[in-house]
Amino acid sequence: MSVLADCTRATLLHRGGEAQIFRVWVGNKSYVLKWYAEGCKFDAAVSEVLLHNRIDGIYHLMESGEKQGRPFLVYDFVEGVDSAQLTPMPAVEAVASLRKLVATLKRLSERGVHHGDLNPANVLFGSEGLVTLIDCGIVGPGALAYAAPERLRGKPANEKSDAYSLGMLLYYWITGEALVKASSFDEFVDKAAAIDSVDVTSNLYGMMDCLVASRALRGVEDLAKLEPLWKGLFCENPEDRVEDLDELDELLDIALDGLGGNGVGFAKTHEKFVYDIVQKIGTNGNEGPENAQILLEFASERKTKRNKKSLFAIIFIVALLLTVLGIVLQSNGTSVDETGALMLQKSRALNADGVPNIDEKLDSAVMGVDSLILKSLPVPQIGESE
Amino acid sequence: MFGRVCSQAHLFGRFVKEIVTVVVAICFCACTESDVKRGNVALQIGDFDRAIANFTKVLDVDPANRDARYGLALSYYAVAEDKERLKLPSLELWGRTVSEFRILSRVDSTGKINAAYSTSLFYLAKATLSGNGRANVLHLLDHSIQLDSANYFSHNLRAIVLANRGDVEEAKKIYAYIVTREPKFASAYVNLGNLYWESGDIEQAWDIWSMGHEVLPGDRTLAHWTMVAEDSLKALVEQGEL
Repeated sequence: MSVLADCTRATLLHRGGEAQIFRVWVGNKSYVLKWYAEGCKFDAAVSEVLLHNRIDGIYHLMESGEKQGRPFLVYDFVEGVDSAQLTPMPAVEAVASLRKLVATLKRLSERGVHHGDLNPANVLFGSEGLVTLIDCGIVGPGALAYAAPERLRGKPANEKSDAYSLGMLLYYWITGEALVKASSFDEFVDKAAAIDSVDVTSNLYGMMDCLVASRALRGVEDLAKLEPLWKGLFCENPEDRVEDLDELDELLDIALDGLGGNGVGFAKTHEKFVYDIVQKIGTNGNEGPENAQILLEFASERKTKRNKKSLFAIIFIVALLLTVLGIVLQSNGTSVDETGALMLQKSRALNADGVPNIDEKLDSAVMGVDSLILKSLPVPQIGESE
Repeated sequence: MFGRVCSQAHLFGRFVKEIVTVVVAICFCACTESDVKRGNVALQIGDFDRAIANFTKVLDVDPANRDARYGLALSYYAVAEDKERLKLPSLELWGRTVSEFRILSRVDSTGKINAAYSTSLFYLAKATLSGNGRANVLHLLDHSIQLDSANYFSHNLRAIVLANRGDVEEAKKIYAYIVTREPKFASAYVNLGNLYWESGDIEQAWDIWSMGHEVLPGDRTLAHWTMVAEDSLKALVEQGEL
């Protein structure tokens, strides 16, 4: 049965060009209904995997479908904030969180699924620093600023394209702005194609004062720790990137170590980071007003589905009744027509004994038909049935 | 919005109503079929009273039920035949049988019932004549033949009635027609021979009876009259009259 079948309340979380996001309640439990814009499509195979598997680090998809030609997803509501609200974040936290994402993507990859749309809005940070990935399996390049060059050329997602997007995500988390900025699709394509020529470390150096002030970087020394990541990820040719997610994880581990992520000081940084998340969750005023219309839209679909189910059930029952009726009638001997035919056949049968009695003299002088004639009149074989 | 909900509720209500109607109709048909079936079984095993009761029960609810009407007509037919077999007055029962077939013919125009209806008309004509030899039954027999031209019993009785009315030539034509279409209808040979015999045409009578005797060598009546005619012809030859 649809999760939306018994929802009683809905609030608008976000309304954007790509989708409308609602929080819906079923009793005390809440879910997210993400209703995409027309033209958006999901890979059915990916939805199928996510519907039937609970994978750590990725949202639990409850339902997927299409309404008014627009796809929708229903998944567990994750109490948290999207990563865009936490930028700029300390590089050490960014790298540590990225490792968590890599672990999640590896679990997905083992099931033959690649995310394909890694961007700040699709990564949620929970109150305990848990990182949850949402919106998996979209068909198309996803958020253009984070898409690998081959994705912009229409290629399907894979570990290497996801790794490229993770690099873009890391840059955004540390700086609070996208590395690639463009105003049109073609411009994104051109800039992605020229990604090898972008000197990321120089970019970061140029923003050093701001980054240090926001505690994203400790100083220039952090640039060297991050440099191998940019070199391993921002390559136009997928072959030049890290081999796979495992290699990326190793690079991240090295970077994390260099950034102090494995030291005693990290605990304090992390505590502060989680505190900020909790504060943001507590003051998260992004829930819009109650939205009864969306309940009606999906409830009516549910009603239609129920009606269809009822119709099929009734048709099935009627067909069953008719079949049983037919079997019962068929199994119970001859019909009235057959009985009539048998009776007539018996009545009409000619028998040599059913002729006039020659011993009785026919009295032709009597006006009218003589009773003797009638007695000897051949009749349908009533005498012979005994 | 409220209107949409109401509209959907209304549509759903109509839908449920139609489904309920179908289910009730099916249940009704099932009950009706069950009574017809019981009546048919009773008819087959000779429990005519029960057959009549079951078919009547269905007709009380659905007077146009074809199977029940046919079953009721056949039940009266069977009861009347029983009376006929026991040489008891059967006129009223044949009248009832014909009446049921008449109603049935308005429900079923397929022609499937025509043979049985035709036979019951023959019996009604016969039963009527049994009570009054002068009764006019030709309309019954004409109707019977119209319903089933292969009902030679009705043709035969019609010829007898016509002969007794003095229309011997028409009667002869009918008997000749019967023996042509149904060579084993012994009575037609006998009756046709009788007409010739009564008119003094012994030679022609012998021709007819001996023809029937050839077709039906086991028929004692034809054998007897063939022999009588032969003897008469021999006597005439001996007397030099032939």
